[in-house]
Amino acid sequence: MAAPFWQAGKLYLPGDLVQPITQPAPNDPQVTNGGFEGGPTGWTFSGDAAYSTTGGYGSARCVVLPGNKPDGVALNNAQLVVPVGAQLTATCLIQQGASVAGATAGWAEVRWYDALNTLLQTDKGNAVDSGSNGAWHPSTVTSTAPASAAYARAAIHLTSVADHDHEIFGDNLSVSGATAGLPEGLVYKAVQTESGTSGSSEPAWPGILGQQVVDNEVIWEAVTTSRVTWTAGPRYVSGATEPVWPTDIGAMVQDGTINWKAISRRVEDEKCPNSKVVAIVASKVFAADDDIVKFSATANPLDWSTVDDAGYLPTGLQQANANSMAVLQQYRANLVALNASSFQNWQVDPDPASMAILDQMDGIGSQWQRAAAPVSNDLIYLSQRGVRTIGIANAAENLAAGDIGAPIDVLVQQAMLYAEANSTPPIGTYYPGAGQYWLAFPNYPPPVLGVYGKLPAGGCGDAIDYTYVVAGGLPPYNVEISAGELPEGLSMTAQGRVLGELAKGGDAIWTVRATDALGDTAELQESRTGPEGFFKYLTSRPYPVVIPPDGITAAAQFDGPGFPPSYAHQDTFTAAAAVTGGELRPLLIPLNQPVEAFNVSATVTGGSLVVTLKSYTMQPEAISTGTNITGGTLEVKLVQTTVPVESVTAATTITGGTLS
Amino acid sequence: MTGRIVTLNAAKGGINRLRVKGGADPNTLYDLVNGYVDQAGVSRSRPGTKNKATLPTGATKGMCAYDGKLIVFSHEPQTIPASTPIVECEVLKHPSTPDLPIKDIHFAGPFLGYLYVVPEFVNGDVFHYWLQRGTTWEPGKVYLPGALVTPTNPNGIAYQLDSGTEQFAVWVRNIARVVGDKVVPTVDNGYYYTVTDVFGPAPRSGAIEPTWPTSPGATVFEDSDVANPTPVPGEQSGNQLPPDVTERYGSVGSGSSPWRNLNREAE
Repeated sequence: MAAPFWQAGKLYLPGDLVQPITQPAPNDPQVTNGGFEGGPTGWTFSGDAAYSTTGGYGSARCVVLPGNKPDGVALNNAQLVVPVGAQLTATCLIQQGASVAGATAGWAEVRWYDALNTLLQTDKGNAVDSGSNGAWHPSTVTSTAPASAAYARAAIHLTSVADHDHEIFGDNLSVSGATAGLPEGLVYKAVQTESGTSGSSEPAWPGILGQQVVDNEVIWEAVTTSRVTWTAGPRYVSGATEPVWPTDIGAMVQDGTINWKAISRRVEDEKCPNSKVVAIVASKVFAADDDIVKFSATANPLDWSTVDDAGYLPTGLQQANANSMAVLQQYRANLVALNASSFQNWQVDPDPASMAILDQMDGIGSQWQRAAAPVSNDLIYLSQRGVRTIGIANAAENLAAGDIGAPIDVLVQQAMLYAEANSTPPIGTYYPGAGQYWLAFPNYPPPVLGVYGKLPAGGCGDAIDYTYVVAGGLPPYNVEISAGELPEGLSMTAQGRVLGELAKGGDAIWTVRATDALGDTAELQESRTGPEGFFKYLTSRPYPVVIPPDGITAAAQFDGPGFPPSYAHQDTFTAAAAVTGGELRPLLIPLNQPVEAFNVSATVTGGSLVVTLKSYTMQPEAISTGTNITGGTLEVKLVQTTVPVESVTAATTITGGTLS
Repeated sequence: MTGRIVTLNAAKGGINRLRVKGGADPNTLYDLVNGYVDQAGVSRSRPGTKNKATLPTGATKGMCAYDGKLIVFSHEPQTIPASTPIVECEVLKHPSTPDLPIKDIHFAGPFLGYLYVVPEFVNGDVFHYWLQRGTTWEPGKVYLPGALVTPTNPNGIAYQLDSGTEQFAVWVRNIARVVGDKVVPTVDNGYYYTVTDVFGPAPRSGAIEPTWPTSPGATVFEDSDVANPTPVPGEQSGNQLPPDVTERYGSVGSGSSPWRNLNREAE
């Protein structure tokens, strides 16, 4: 597709291209009427040069410079188009008539013009001045098209010395090297500065590059342009249906022609202190970083690094100590920085160069970032003693009275004790609707101090790891046994954790006492007697034979499984043992398995035979023990809460020792 | 001063501050703040405003007002009951342990149109977040590079335009062009450009990148003067020495360097 055709009365913008309806005449590659055969047509004479009908070469017609005339030029009107950098050669014939050598001279000439017909350069050929006695001699010039040259014209230049009265003639001008026709791609470009309307009739289009023609309000310039037309299309268009959005940060999802990525929106600048203490003032984010306060770039909270924009306030240099800044809050247009013992008031500005410390006072401070709130002309904050304010003319922490929070110091101080101990800092805010400063203490008041829990049941040999729960009051707590004793083998830490291995069963009574930071106490009494007591014997795991100090040896024979006995799944248990030393502790733990009969037949001649039956499903009538004890102790213990003990029979002959 | 106690037995007379000899009238009120008297003459407290929000139990931390809603925070998307449409949950994930819950919110306030939030995670790590939101996703919409969107049902996470699904060649100069060629600008502006027309003896890109229009269907021409082509500027290697070192340091010509002037004064 070519450029659009020119249209009459159309508005054209600068840069518009058109092609003419009527093409211009093609460029001529040769001079016009170079031999003067057509008379002076196509020539422009200047100086004293003139058309002559006598003395020509081959014919009578030529250009002549009369005698006693210094200079004349016959300039051919043909505009010869030559590409920039290409060469044009012009040749003509000169005849000096009767002139003597050096009196007259003539030569071929090439003159270069730009698109506005301004002469750029003239190149001369060899001068014919030798006095030829009426002979014709050629003059030739080869010239290179200079930059900006739109076309060239060829000429015959004739000169004579002042006192010489003979004629000199020129004829037969010709050229080579000019481009024929129109340049390829010749179109016309609107070059006026503003939009304009074309005329009602087509202008006379110039056929030479760079030349212009005025067309009403439009100025057209001949150009050889190639044009590429780009049409914009959106690169990122969402689809018709919403994608299933991923929830992992960094995950991507396709949507139409878009790839979406889930982002965290975290401030990733490595110089961001990522601290808890933050304030936003002067189009910047300020954040405490130990003893200094860093700030972000103006209006860019993601940038904490740009020099002369992001930076820090040297708060640590402004006081006797370098405590970490704990509170940042806006006060009027300034930034107040507080640590535990110092107050600083900074003038802050989007331009870091304009930041400066305005005021500083040691001896007042705060550690409660979220309790500070600007209210009108004051900055309310929570000091070590209660709620205080910073006013325009003073910063007050009158520990006795006077400030707005003083009347509630008693309440606040108590609550602060708990907040500090519980690591639950208070939160303050200003509620404009009520004109009130609210200070909230989480989990306050705390519940009454108490000790809770119960040592789990166990038997002799069980490992115990149990912690009593202490709640309420003011931590930290101290836990101790205030009365009685833990079962033998157990001990308790100050945190209420009971550790150890039950070394002995039986009854135990003890009291656990917890004391909080205020000195308040709470107690829990554990009374583990009777059915709540601890089993004295346990053989659910290998249990050592207790060897008395006198070193009695033990020999036992069992009809049941081997030592240690475990009879949980047997219907009938029979043990026949002879104990001559040490302790034999058969334990029946049938759990939920019924046992029809339990029979122990033992001869104890020394040491102890301990029979423990732990069963809740066995008929007590089925229990029978036949034991001959000639020494030592036979202990028969029935742990059964649902049947009368009276139904248990024991036939025992005790020759010595004790039956319990 | 201790006054005589008068028991209000019925507010028949409304508020009346005229006091006559004898003291207060048990049938009138001197003042009543934030209350009203019902038809039975009983003073009642005026009900206040009430905002009730049902949040996932124990799953969110903090709360602040922003953009007409109450914003809460969690480390994972939370389903806010439809009965509390004014509540929205923003998701803040720990950068290295995404499933780490949030322990506390130390700061949350709007800055430059978006919330600036400082959460502390249960392991004690504190990070800063600036919760840019962008716009709500729309179907068939043209987005530009860097665009941020949030789902139509917000899940607390923002999504940024990362790339396109179709790859294009980047515009380069002095390349012959034919109809159908597609390029994207050297600096992504969200549009690709298709050659829809060419004419002239040698349609090609010029030496200077066009000023690309940014609306669908808009066109731009890239003209190249065949007769007088614009010279292509040479590439700078970046480590070339200047042609004249003395010129570089201002030690030739009239001499404007301070040390030169000092020397001259010394002479």
